Amino acid sequence: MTTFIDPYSSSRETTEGTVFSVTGGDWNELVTEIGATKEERIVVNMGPQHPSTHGVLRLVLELEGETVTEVRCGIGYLHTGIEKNIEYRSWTQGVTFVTRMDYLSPLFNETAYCLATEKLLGITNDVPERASAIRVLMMELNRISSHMVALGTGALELGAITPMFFAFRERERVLDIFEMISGLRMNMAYIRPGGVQQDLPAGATQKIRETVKEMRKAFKDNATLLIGNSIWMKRTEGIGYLDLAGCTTLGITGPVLRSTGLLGIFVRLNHIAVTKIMILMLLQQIHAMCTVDS
Amino acid sequence: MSDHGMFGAAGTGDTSGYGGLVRTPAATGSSERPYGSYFDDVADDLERAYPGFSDAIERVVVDRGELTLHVKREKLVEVSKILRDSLKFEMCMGVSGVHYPEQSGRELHAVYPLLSITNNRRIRLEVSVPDNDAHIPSVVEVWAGNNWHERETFDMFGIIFDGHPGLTRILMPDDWQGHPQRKDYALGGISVEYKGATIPAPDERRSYR
Repeated sequence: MTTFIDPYSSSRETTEGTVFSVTGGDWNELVTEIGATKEERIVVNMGPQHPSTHGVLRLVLELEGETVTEVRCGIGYLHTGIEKNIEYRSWTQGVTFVTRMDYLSPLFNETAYCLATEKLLGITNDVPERASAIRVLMMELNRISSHMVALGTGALELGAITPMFFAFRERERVLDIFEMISGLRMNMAYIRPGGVQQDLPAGATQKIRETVKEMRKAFKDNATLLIGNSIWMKRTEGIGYLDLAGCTTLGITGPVLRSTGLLGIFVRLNHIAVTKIMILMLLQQIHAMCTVDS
Repeated sequence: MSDHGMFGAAGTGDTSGYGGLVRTPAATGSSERPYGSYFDDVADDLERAYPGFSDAIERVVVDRGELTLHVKREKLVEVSKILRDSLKFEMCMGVSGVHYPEQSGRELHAVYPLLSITNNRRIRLEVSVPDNDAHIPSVVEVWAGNNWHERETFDMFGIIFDGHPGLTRILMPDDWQGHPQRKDYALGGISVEYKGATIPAPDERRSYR
């Protein structure tokens, strides 16, 4: 008896049941074969594939019919050993490492690291107020560029390409400011323990003011492009329900936590070295949010 | 040819210009009351809600404006539940491992930062265990989000979290030897092979002998 082995769709018996290997081929044949088995529960290995290229995601799914009943994630080999490297470096050199932890928000990584370092060294109060202000300024700009990537690529993965072009255009504007101030667009190691690498260059404030004005207009376009798109709304609104208890037990913060109805901006006024003016601005912002919400 | 490296480093292979870390030993005593800030309230509330306070909490440390409760490992889950339910520390922001090779009998520490959204308070729990018996009960039943964090701390430090629903390596390959974030684990401990050529570990590479 000869057995024909289809190189693209073969099956073999194991102690766990029949295993089907699919590497892109005749789906009809596979579906017929799976249909012949009595069992409803099948285990599917999905991936490894990359939603982002670094560290491939692999999911082992258990399906009952079309419902996923269990999933195990292989999240890839993402650890870069930054802590270990910093053990062999000085405090200032550490910034160059941590800025790469999340390359979309380098200034946040740097600030978090520097605040901790300053606290350990007991020099928190020696940081100039101007340096703190520059830190917050840079972080806020960074927040815009990071959110633009999230929204742009988010739309892209749901099949819309135009929002990505629009969002990346805004991001470029922010990166231009970063380049002007620190010399680098990303991973700039600009914030250092004790302050920042250098003061704002001449013309930086003016450029930021102009850019902010332009971006305000562009944000409206971006928002219309996404909220006005019914496909985008259908694929994002009311999807993946998570309530407040779910968020707290899973340690979820940020916009997702706020989407459960928890009020307001959750900021640690006592922790980040913000100036009095910033606290005032923040309170105004909170007040504005409360007014909108009620 | 000189035996010194390209950057003039001698001995350590450290080319950073930084001579080496000087570590001050961690303080071992308990802080004195009043702790300041909201820390006295937290301690009082916990004492009231949890009768076994003096037995379970080894010491209370206030340092650099942060409160740390050192908890005996047997009592960790009990204390966690009280903190979550009575003191409203709804969130546990993960667990970090720390390796203190010089503290014999308590080499490995697990650190849990807690957050109370209700009261806008943050505290920290710390559990220390000996290297040869690195078992800590899992708090996944209290804060489900700690699942992957505990796997990471196991992966990186070798602390075994008893009662964890599936304690396996999460970042390193399953068959990896050793726990990379321990202090005695060498930097760049393995040589990398690429297309037949091998790249030496960074601590050897940098002196360009």
